[in-house]
Amino acid sequence: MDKPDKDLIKAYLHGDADAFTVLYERYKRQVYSFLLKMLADKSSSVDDLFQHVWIKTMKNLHRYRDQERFLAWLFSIARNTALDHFRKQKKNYMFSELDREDTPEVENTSAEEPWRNMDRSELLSAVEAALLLLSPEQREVFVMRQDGLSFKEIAKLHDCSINTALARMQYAMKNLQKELIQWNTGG
Amino acid sequence: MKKDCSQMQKEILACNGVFNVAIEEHCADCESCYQFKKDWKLFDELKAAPAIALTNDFAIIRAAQKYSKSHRIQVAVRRGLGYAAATVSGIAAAYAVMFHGPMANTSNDILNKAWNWDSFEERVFVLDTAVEVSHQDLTIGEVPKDEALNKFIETEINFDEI
Repeated sequence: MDKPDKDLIKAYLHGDADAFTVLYERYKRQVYSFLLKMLADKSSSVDDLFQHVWIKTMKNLHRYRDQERFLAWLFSIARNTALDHFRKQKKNYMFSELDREDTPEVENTSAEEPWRNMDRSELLSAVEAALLLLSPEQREVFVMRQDGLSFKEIAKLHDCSINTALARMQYAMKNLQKELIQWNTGG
Repeated sequence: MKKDCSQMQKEILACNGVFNVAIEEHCADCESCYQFKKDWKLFDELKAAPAIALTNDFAIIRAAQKYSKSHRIQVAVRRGLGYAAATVSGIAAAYAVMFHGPMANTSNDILNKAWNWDSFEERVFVLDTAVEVSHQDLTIGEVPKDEALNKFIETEINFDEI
């Protein structure tokens, strides 16, 4: 049976370097996927940031308290690292646009949309391309949810209510559906 | 379109893949929410497994080993310094309590009493002399031995002081 995260963290803090390797192997894909999607236009810096996130993690591991899930804590480091990166790049990464609890207008969508019949790999490429067209905050919520964070954890990371996090996801879904329709029509 | 579709879609998102009866009933009558639920499941299952360069794995695992080793050394040094500090403080505290603290007078009295044999030696000398004088008197035979000795002892020796 897999060792719980807190046991691995304890072991690493007592000098067992292999325990960290297990943690890394357990979560590296989620963290990499998150950074890759958040920095999609700057893929060359993803590897650097990815390493930076893990080094920050090992150096701050003694500060981790197991009240929250390790994955959520790890994502807070990844998110802050990405935001620092944006700040250095002087990129505008504001949340003001959607810092409200409203929800998008519900529209009727047809079950006959061709994108719904794509095969998995094609759909994956289409979704990844469509994600780049979303606003950063919508993309972030979508990616975090896909990587296994709950809406409660996402709301905590974004310092907003769960309702706001859900509304952002609704916007993300709505915009993804729109982009996928255009993807199919070649627009 | 139903009035509560927006709220229902939030509930679909929050359900974590296990939908309650209210959602299922709503989706049976609402094409839009039914499609939303279907799309949500589709997106949720659509998880990419990004390829991570081996150089990343190598760099991070190596850094973890290095950091763990330096961390271990730091912990050992800190622990050693801690023990040394605790020992020095213990000795200092014991010294302070014994010679400068509330026990200082008591301990000094004990030590003084233990080492001051002067009065006792004096009394022993006096007693010894008395015994000797008495013995001489006995040998001379002029004074009855017990009387002279008793008298001397009574006048010269204070047994309370010994």
